[in-house]
Amino acid sequence: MQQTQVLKTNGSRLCQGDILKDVHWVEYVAERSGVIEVARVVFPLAIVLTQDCDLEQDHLFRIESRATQDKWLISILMAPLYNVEHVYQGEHLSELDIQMEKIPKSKSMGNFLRNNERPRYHYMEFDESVPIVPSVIDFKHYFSVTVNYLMEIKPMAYVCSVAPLFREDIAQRFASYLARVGLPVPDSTCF
Amino acid sequence: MPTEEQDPFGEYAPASQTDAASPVSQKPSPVEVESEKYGIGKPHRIIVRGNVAADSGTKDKRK
Repeated sequence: MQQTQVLKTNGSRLCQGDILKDVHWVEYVAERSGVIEVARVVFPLAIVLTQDCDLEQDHLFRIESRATQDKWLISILMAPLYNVEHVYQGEHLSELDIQMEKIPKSKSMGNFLRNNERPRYHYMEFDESVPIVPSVIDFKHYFSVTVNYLMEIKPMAYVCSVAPLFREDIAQRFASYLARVGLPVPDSTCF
Repeated sequence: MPTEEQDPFGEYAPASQTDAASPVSQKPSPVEVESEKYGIGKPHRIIVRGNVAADSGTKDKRK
């Protein structure tokens, strides 16, 4: 498996491929008898999937004086990175009381995962200088956060950015996964 | 297992009211204890509770 190349940017705007740590996603907000309850899921690592030109336009329209806010985004698409060692065991969501299927590391399923032959997942391992454990993006678990929230946490949460081409590879695989056609399971009573 | 914490959450729960709203059981985030590598920990849940202020956050401000 080829190592995923990353770079460090010092730009102020968000970019496709940015990897951020401790990203909070609001799961629900409920109010009962005057008590408000907010549940958030904290993802240790997540990657920005929103198209980069959309992010650039959003940034320009926010920092420059424009007649409209036409290019403002209302949310940014992200996907979590899971520690692959937890994924092998199906335990990466155990703290959310979610049991996932096991993907045996040393069998063909583990190889398929690491070779990115499973459309749902994108495996990444990095050079030793990159402070991220081998990880898996789960495209099925994409979520959205607001632009303002990400801009607020970026100074503390930014880890690195996936380099061009590697980033496009992720974006293309995500788009392909999202656009897949779910065909119906054949009904035995139909001819 | 979810983690519960106190969080005023702006106008919805002023700190003085939130203090008595719910018990606190703070569990350290897996990320906080990481030393060298990111992504070692697992996703986890944080639940925040607080009283809704008497006259804030409940008004319909639509025009």
